[in-house]
Amino acid sequence: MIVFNPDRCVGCYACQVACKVERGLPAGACGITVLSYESLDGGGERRVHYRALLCHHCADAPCVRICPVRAVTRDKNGIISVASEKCIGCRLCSLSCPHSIPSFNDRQQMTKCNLCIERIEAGLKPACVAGCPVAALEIEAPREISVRKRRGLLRKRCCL
Amino acid sequence: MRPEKKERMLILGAGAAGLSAADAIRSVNPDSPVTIVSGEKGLPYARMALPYYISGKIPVKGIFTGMRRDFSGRKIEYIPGDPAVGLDTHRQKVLLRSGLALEYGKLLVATGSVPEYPDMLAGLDAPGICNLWTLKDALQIKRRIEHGGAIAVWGAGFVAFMAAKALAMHGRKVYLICRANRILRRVLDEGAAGLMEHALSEKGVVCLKDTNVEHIGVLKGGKKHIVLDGGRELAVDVLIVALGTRPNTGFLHETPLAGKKGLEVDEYLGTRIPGIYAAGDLALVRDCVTGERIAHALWSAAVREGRGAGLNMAGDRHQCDLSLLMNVIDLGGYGAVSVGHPLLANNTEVYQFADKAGKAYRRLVFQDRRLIGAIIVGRCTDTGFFPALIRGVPELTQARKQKILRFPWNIAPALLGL
Ligand SMILES: Cc1cc2nc3c(=O)[nH]c(=O)nc-3n(C[C@H](O)[C@H](O)[C@H](O)COP(=O)(O)OP(=O)(O)OC[C@H]3O[C@@H](n4cnc5c(N)ncnc54)[C@H](O)[C@@H]3O)c2cc1C
Ligand code: SF4
Ligand code: SF4
Repeated sequence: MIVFNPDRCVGCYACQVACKVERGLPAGACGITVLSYESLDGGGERRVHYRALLCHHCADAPCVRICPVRAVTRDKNGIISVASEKCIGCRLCSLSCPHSIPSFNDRQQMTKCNLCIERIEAGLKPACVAGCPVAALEIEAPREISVRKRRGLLRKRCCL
Repeated sequence: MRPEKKERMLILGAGAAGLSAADAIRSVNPDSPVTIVSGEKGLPYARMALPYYISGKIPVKGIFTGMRRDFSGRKIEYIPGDPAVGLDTHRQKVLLRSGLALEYGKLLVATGSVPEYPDMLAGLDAPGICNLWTLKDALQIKRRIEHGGAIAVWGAGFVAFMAAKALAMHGRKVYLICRANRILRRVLDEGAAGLMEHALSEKGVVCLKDTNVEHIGVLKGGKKHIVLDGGRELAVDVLIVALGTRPNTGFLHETPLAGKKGLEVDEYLGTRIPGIYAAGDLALVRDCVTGERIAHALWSAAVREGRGAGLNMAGDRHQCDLSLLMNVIDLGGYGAVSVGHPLLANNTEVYQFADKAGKAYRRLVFQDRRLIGAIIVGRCTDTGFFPALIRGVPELTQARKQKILRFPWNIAPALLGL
């Protein structure tokens, strides 16, 4: 899965652009969402914070379980992806996902991060990771991370 | 040793709840004998996908939820087209219509609900008057409107809305006959229902509100003649009756399980008879906001309960009550989501927000610090956060509540601690 390092992020949204271009997604749909917020620190200086909403490719994914037409599936590597053409657009996956990840294309069919599986198979990094100019995103193969380590990583660097 | 048949996990119903129970049993117990019985012939399918088949969004093969090889590959016995007609709780046996008697060790009743059919239609067995509940109904509707035609949908609840939307998306003229003064009145407030009615009318649906049906007849040539109160008359090719549902428990009438509203279950989805569980549309499960025992009749609830019941049948102790209401009303990208109890009126604080263009609207309802219900209309990216919030995880702090109220159009930043 993809891990986000908020201390490195500069809020340029290059990852979102790269994802949209790679997957040909319309406005409103994206595999990664960067959120930003400004606050004042102790010395009165303005600070900007970033968080990324990224699919966790959950071990026991609620989106897979709930899909009434079995359009969302897990592959042997643990990657959760959707066959958009099968989707009816009921949005139950987006309501069941704890991170509100699923988004919808112009035909109201679900799209989500599939870790750019075709790029990975060709030896490339996912588009968002490759597009980030400051290496705030990293890819870790889910099968190489034990569940415990994964939780540790998530707590350290990720969004929730 | 007990006979093997007594170890059989028997699931009545191959819908959302029944199939998720089978998945759950298999996830912890790869070998126990599992049998699924369905009242309908053929492969199991998703009821809620039927409107999308009618509208042409997916082909008929897209609605099926299990293939024969999925069952045989996982050593699950599937018996279609043979509904249960009786249950002997002492001998632990279920009697099927064919005469087959199946013994069980654990039993899950997941036979869903059945649509109401008004007395007015008794004896009027005319083709083209039907519910939208089974694949047979959907095939009939699709065939009859293949080359055009007008349709009346009687009812204005969720299934009625889905039927009207599907047919309008298919380019047909639709009349929605609504007894109340707004559609979807159990899940939407007046503001949201008004926006949805407007969006429906743009798709060609005529919403006839505060209207009742006085008489239905069949004209020469097969058209249905509907007389409404106030004297208006409609002549349509298809009449879809969608006036609500009741639990499908007819075959339990001689057991202590049968109740008018459904089957009462504890927090582990067990009924009052040990070894018998219930899940899905007929199970009376505690609501996560009100605590009331209620049958939610939702796909999401059926999947959740089916899974919980399956795990418990396999020997786990999985607490699985606290069901959450959630309805998605989508009209091709513009729509509404209703989660929890946005219309509850006691001890609640109600906040309403509307955008200048009059297209987006939010209603957030709190009981003290806890969000207990929300209606969200218009495009949004944060709907996924509402279910957990209404379930009460994470618990809202006063500061986060204030932040949500200050930035109500996207609650994600407030929840992510930004
Ligand atoms: C048109 C339509 C649209 C819908 N849209 C939505 C939606 O968008 N979102 C949502 O949350 N919900 C929706 N629903 C509701 C949702 O489909 C149901 O809540 C859900 O299917 C309930 O699951 P269940 O397993 O309890 O019952 P069902 O899925 O109805 O399954 C019941 C099973 O029991 C079998 N059965 C019946 N009687 C017997 C018997 N005597 N013996 C053995 N087997 C029997 C049936 O053949 C069937 O396999 C919709 C429903 C309809 C009809
Ligand atoms: S979409 Fe959501 S539920 Fe599904 S795998 Fe990704 S994070 Fe998990
Ligand atoms: S929106 Fe599509 S992918 Fe999501 S649950 Fe519904 S059918 Fe499945």
